[in-house]
Amino acid sequence: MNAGLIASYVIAGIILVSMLMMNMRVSNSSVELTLTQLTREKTSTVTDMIYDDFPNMGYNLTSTTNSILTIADSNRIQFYRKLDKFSAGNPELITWELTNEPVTETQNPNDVILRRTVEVNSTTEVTDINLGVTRFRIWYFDEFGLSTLPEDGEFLPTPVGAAKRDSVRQIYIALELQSPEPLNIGFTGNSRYIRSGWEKRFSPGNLAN
Amino acid sequence: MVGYSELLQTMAAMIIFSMILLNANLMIHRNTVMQIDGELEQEVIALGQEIIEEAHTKEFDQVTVGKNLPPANIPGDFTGHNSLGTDGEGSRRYYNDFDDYDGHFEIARTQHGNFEINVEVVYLDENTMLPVSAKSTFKKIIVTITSEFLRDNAGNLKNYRLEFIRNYYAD
Repeated sequence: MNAGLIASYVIAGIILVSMLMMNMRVSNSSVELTLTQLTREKTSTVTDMIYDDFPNMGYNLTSTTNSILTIADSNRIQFYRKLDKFSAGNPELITWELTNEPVTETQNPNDVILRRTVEVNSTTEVTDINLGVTRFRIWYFDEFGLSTLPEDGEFLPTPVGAAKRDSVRQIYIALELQSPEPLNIGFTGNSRYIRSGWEKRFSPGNLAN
Repeated sequence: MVGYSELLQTMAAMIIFSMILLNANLMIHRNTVMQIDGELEQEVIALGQEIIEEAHTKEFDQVTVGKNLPPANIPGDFTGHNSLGTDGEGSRRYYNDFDDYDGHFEIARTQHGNFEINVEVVYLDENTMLPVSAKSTFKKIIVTITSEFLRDNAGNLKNYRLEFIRNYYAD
């Protein structure tokens, strides 16, 4: 066997291994992109619900509700809001709460159920959001434009007591979702979950009045 | 060259493979950039909306702050187009009317990094809805946001503009 043939076998072997590695990287990248898109879609679904509820808190057709915020904690918020924008009736009492109940349908051990409850006229409707929420943190501000950084400490200490709840002007929400399945990294067996974060400060018009 | 033809063939295969690898790496890089852009753009929208919503909770003009009655002359009594901006309010927490946000600049620090926010407020012509150097009952707030991680293909910072038009009579 001549030297040229041996060298070509070695190079062919290197190329083959490189192709396998490349194939794995491309495949991993595609999986990561797909998981990211899915997680972001789920984040968008949750934020759509939040966007509908929070800016409208206190809305009551022709006026504001008598009381607006009834619970203001770091992982739980309850407020009145009239859901039906066209007919009279009692406003709904809406609660958002990050529970400790894990989502059992996914492999991810970090995700828990985010629960939205609507109560009106002695009826209760519970919506369990099991889309991979791992964080739902709420801060409250009694003035506009304060720093949202926890280290600056300009938010109200939670739970916000009854005496201070009427002075809340802005509500800052940080949300994080993780993918239901892990993404494997290389041959080491390590894996990680894809994260999608969202944060926003709301200025509900009815809190400003 | 007799006996080395296999070596030359594998060298050629290596060159072809290298080109495929470069393209694959480019694709992976683009995927990653898309992921990061998408994630940061979500934050950009949220920050822009935050400023717009906050400004919308304030009075339309300084002349209406703390007043129960509308000004006698509308829009003649409103702040002049050259005087839009703060009326002595030191910072965002003290802004009390819509156009106080004109000229506002801040760096928002978030879990996604820092974002630079510039705000401009202008009067609009009531018929054309174009910026006008005169008082009117329409004001537009323009929030421009940049991030050092959001750049175009030439490497320049991308400017994200969010706008909102407010009418005095529609409040």
